[in-house]
Amino acid sequence: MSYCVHCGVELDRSEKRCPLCQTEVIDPREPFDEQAVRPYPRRLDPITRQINRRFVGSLITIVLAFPALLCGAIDFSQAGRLTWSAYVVGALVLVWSWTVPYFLLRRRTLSGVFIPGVLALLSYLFLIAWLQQDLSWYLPLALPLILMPSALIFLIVYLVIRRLIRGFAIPAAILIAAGLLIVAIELVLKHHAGGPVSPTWSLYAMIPCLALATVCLAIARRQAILDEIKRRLHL
Amino acid sequence: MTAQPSARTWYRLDNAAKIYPAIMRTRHTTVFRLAALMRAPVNPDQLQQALDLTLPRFPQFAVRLRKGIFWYYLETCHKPALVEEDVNNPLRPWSRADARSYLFRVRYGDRRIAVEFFHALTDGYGASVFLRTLVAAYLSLQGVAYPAGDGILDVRDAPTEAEREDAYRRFSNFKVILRPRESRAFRLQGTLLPVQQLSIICGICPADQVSAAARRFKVSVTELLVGVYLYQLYQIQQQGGYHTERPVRVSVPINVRRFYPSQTVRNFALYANPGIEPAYGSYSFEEVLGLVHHFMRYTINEKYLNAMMCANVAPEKSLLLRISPLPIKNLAMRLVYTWTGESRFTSTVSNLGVVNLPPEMAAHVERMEFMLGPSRYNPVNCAVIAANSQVVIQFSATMEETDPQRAFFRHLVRLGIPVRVESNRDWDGSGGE
Ligand SMILES: [Zn+2]
Repeated sequence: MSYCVHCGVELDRSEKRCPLCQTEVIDPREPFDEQAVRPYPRRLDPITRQINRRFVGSLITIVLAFPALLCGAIDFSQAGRLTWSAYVVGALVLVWSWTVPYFLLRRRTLSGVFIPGVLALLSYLFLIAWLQQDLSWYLPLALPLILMPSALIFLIVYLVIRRLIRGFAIPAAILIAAGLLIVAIELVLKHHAGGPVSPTWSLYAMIPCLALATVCLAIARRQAILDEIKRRLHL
Repeated sequence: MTAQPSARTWYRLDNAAKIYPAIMRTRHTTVFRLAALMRAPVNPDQLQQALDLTLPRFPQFAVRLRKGIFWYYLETCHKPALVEEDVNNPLRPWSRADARSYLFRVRYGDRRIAVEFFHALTDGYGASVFLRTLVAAYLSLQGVAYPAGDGILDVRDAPTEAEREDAYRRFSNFKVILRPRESRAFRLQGTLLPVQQLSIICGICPADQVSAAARRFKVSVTELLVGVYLYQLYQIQQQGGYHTERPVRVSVPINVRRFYPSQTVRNFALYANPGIEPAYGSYSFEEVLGLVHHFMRYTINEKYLNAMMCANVAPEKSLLLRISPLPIKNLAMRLVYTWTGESRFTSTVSNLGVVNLPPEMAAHVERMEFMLGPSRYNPVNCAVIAANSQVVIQFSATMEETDPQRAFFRHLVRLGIPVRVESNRDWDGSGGE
């Protein structure tokens, strides 16, 4: 029998080093035996980490459902039908649709998480418009002002995730999108106001955006410039 | 085929078991393991036959976990229970696929017969009854006389209702509800092992030497081992660069069966958490041992334990908690566990005590082993069992560093107790296997 010279504990023949202190066993009479039966098998049980996202999802559901039910019940008992509580319930449903799919979906795809969120936002605004009996602002203003930025964000995130654009092309894409968006917003607002539909002030914002985007694209093209910037400005 | 004596097809979880499904995670497996190291290699086919004989005797274990609207419950499972080959990293958590099957595993190694239990089914004592019965059935297949009695059930008997009662409910007298208030305890830190690794270090000591050492200090064996461990954890805290004066506390499960006439093979254990407050000053080993000794004597008596037990059973009686749906209960139990559970102690020492083996079995069993599953916050746990005049101390850890284990066993050696060490760790050797 061998003892660890450091810990004073007796060691099995199969131990090459002391499991407590990693000191190698040095016993000329009884050296470490490679063939000795190990006290434990070598086979490993595969363990997959359990991701308990469902729990978070149901937790958010409970936390949101409670005030929604409470408000609905109070409102209904007072007015006999849903009045103000519809806003609260709608807002809670909106929060729910932004958070819970992220936890419940087995595969979190961009369209699976993003598109329902946008649709929920549109529905909530529609609910408000409908409750106020005033749909005049919904179609000409709310719909385009939400759909346009959403579409641009979706496009850019998609391109980035799919690695279709990378490096300096990403800020270039964002700048181009921002420039176009500003012009589009001005056109929508002017159309709603009833004036002449032509861009004026938004051009002052778009031109520097596009100029900066051109610079970014140029840098993205020139790996040498990129390296130079990295060398001078690295943190 | 033994006739099915009762048509019960579902069971409530007992009081202690209710928390375990809620807090089960990958790193917090709430699983423990008992093993018998035989003197001869194990025959898997005969072990399977023995399991087929044993399981009908324990209908409360032939179950799987299901979700109700208000509580989890155990439902009789009719799948065949199969023995599995032993592995280097036992105590795998029950995954969703596993959850459709039994809540225990029977494994065979080279000479080892092991059972792993999900804690919702039973505690260490209940598992030892199951394992001893299984080993007795296995040996009887090899022609050894069947020794029933004293912790070994006869597989030919019918199961009784008393064996599956919720003893917590039966014996809580609700005179006083006592919830010990504890502050957050010191927490060991180290390099976490990858999920599929578990560091097992097992120390084997002669029982007479351990009890002689305990007698020298006029304490019980549990108190001695807890005292040594606590003192060494305290030393690690003081010298390990932790810069904290948080209390060092060790959770010690107590088998309550010796205070109450219950035959239950389900959970019936409570906890005492002896500890020291390093903020009060520095402690010598004798002082720590004295504190542990007196704390245990103060805590472990029928009246104090009953008051603690009532605190556990009381929430189960509250109507508000009972009618709240399971997801809310799960959340509540997790929060309660975070505030009062594992964060209140540094590690666990579970001493199952002397497990009686009749001479017929002792001739074929070299030793018994007991191991706790890894927990979420505390990277090292310790389990002790004594049988065949050997005390087996098994550390299971999710931490690369072995400082607590090394300090503990060195201290035992210094007390004059010879220790033989085994481990499953050869993946960290330089051999590159
Ligand atoms: Zn050593």
